[in-house]
Amino acid sequence: MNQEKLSRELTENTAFLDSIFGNSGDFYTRHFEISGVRCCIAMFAGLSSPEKLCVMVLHELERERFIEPDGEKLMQALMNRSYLPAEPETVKDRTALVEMLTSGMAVLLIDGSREALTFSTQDMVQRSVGNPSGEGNIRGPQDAFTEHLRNNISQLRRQFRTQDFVAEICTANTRAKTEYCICYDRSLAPAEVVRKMRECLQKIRIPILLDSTYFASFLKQDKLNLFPAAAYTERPAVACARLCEGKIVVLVSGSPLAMVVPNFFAEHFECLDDYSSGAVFAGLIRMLKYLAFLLSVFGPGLYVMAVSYAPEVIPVRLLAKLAQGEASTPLPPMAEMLAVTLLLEIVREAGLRAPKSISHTVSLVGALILGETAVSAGIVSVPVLTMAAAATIATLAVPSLYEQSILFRFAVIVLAGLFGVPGIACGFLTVLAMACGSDSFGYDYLYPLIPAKHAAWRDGFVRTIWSRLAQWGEVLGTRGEKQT
Amino acid sequence: MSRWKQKKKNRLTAVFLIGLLLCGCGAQPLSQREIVRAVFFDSGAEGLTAVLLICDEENEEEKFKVVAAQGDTAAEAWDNAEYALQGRAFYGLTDLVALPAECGWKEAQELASLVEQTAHPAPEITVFALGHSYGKDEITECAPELYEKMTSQKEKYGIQCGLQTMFSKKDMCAIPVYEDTGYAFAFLAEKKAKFVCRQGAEAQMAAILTGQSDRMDCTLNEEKIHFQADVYTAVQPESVDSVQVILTLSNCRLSELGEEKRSKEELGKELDHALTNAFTCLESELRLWEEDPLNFRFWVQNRFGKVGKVRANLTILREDAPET
Amino acid sequence: MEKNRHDWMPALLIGILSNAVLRFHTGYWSRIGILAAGASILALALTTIWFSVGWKRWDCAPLRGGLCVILAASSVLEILRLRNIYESLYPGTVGLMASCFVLLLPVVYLRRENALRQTAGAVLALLAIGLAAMLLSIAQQLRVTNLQNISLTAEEWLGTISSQTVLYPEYLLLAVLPKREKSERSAVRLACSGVLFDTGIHLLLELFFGAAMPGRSSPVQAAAQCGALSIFNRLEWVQLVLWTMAVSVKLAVYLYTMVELLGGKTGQGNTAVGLDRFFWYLGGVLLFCILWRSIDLERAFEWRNILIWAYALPVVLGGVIQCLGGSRKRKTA
Repeated sequence: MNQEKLSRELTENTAFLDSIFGNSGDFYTRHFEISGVRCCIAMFAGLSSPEKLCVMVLHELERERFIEPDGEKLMQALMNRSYLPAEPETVKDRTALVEMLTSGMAVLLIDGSREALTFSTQDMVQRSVGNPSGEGNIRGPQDAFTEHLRNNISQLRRQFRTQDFVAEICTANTRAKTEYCICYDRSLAPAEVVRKMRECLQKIRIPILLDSTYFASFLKQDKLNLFPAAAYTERPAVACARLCEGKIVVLVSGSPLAMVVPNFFAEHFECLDDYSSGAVFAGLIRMLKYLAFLLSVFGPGLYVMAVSYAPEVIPVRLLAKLAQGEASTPLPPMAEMLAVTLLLEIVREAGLRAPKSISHTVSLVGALILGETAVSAGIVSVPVLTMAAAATIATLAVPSLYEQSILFRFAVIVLAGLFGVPGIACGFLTVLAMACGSDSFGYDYLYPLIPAKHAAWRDGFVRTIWSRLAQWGEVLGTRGEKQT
Repeated sequence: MSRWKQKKKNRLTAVFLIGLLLCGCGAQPLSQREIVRAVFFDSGAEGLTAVLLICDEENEEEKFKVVAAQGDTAAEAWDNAEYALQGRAFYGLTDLVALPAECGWKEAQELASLVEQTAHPAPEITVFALGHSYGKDEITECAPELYEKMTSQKEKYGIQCGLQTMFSKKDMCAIPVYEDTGYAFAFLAEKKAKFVCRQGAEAQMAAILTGQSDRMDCTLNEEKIHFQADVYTAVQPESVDSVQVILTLSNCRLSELGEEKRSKEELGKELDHALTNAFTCLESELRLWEEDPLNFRFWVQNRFGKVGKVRANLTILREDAPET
Repeated sequence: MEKNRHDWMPALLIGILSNAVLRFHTGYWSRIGILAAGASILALALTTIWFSVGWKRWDCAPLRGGLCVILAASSVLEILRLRNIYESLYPGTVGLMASCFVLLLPVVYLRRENALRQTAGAVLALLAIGLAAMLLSIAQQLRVTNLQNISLTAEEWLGTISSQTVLYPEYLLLAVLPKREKSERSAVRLACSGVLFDTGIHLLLELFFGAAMPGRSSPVQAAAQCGALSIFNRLEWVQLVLWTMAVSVKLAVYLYTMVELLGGKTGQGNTAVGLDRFFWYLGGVLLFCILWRSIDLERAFEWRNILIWAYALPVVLGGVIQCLGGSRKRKTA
């Protein structure tokens, strides 16, 4: 798109619009005169509301009387002396003109003026605020972000009612010119992090931006690292909580997921309910989640290692049963575990992608028929199936690390199956090194878990009681000092 | 050109990494492993017999299968036994080794070294000596029963004779000797004849004083009193030639086995008397043996810096178990 | 939530402590070890400090090259030593190539300074927990009467001090790696931790093995084999996992230092070692592992110690002269 200035000639400007949008059925233009000067209103019917246009612009123009000799003066009059609710900034070039129209504004072009007026007549069809589908919670606010950027910002502002809340709206370097918004608390977020974030997002050039997750890969320093560079939430409440910690929330137009940076490993094990329920229970649940993550990543690998290389770790009675199970199946333990894990992933993927009407059938066929028949036919053994199923269920306890759990699990199974105990060590250290190496804007990804200081027991592995939690401010860039 | 080189380099790296990955695959199926739970050595006229007690995974009724072989040396006999197995012997769950009844210090050391070198990976192995010589056929037949009984004795009497204790002294070692009722305790030394405490209380006292047990369970006073207690020992050097041995009995249970009904105090006195007798007996016999398996000299040397013959006096402290 | 600030101490400590854990044979009786610990700490700390001073003054390409050779050779020896333990525990399952792969794969993710420092801290904590668990699991078999009453001869003293003052490459790395705190304090901390840990391990082994301690090969592993807690049949596989991790971290530190000395970072403010350097390292280590696969490792480690002392002594002397010169100048002023 060129940065060419708007012409003084209305015909040239309308010809330009016709050349790019003329074929579009939803493109609407209307020519009329104001005090003898030719004008044109342009907008997209699906994005802007004709009713709003009538009420906001046309009725006002009919009521007011203008006696201006040329377009330039008429523009000044409309901007400075009329009651028309035009946007404060006028459009001066063709790029801005197109951006305004595609974002749902109505544009008033005046013959003889190099500028155009814009009116906020947006009226897009949108989903109403609903419940979050991917972040289940029993207590706390139940509203979720939608696809509409302005609505999302308003949801944040409704909960974060301070003068320090900043929402910087920018346009991404994409072909579709998608808008995104960087939200932060001016007094809490470190200026350096905000600046880095702003620069980083501005540098990103991608053909299309449909979700905030697209940004994440660009924020990673080590591209081989599998841990996510950012956290995501569908809940404005969670986003607000993160803003209070001095973090940055990035909203992308068209995406109901807010991206939070910098993010920490421990945050994947936290949820809103942790803070609504009692500290002891919340601590227990959190510990269970950590255990579930370890089980999901290392459980199947440890099983393969124990059965193939180190049977001495298994109690004798269980060992006899495992040996019987192994003898009745044709595949070695590693291949068997890989096959079952893959099959479970296929069932999950099919259940997720299949139309809702048949997804239950997929689950039924996968879980009952395949599992049952595979065992009775002697293709897989019961212990392997049990371990793989336990690991799959454990993965769902920490849904935000689902991708990582699956990838790590496969790697650990292969390493354990090929190298035994040293393979497990290799897998564990690789995962640990990845986590330690995830540099989130200069902050430790494993904070506050490693090094395990007071913060780890305040709001890390477990959560302390609110009265104590409230005394310590966990804000980015500070040491977690006691609040006075 | 450089792109082609980069492509080639990436492919080479991938092949190299896959090659390294394929260097693994040393796994052995569980069903091909023969899980050895115990190794018995028995010496007889026909040579040395090695018996491997194997977990029988297929037969649900019989828990164990037994493989026995003979050889001129223990290593040969063991090799032959391994050769007779269907799969590969796996010693990761081996927890008991029985030495021949007649073995002396040298033979015991050789067998223990052999176990240490052969049984890999093996955890703490409890060592027993057999009570008498069985012969190949008999020991093959009764190995599962012996294993069960030895294991239950180990639990009952709290015996902890790890393989490493066989080597913890330069020229001496002590091992429990399996007997049908309880256990005896043998002291083996490089330059001395084997000394075995056969009497129940004395043998258990010896095991406790060498640190190989922490429990007593025996009958006293011509089998009229049954005594059971957890025992903690402390040794205090008193002078250059004497130490005080303090035996603390906790959870002490005394019960009459005969028809006679004695008071608690009387039973206590009987116990003190019996234990003192057993201790005096043991101490005087070991003094004649001229070695220091109970480590009394260790304490004296640490306290006074001198070593000589050491007398030991016994003090018994008793905490009765709560009545149920 | 502070910005990451880690020092190299955990990474260097892991390197030193793993030597005590993976040793082939014990070097001395614990009583004499405890008595000699002070002198050994002093000797090692002073050597490290003077080496740092000398390095700052005499830093040049041949010195850098020499240290790189020591580090590369140490990498190979470390891998071969751990491979010996794999072989004794699980015979025939992990080959030489596989050992190299398993130990060096995590190094790909330990190329970044931050990852390396933080991972080292975590592994050190896990190693401490693992050793505590091992201690707990064999506590019943530790006997005070196993401590040996030995006569304190000159030979014993000499043997003990020479065993405690083995100059591991980590002592020299303190001079090379960028540091946050004062190098003197770090040197003392490192020497204290190394010698005291080594003595502690010797005490533990003597309580466990008694008179048989000097004859045991890989004694810590042999002790770990006997460890069992009520819920676990065996614990030595956990120890093996931890030792493997410790050696991987050690190798990553060596690679990082070699690149620090010779150059090869990815640049533009990125503190990571370039991936191409990693593949050179992997290939080189693999080649030498194959070439040296049948050498007498115990002797090789002795030779390494002699080599390190021979390498370090001139630099240390330079450091002493520098220090003396500095103090004289101060006095004159």
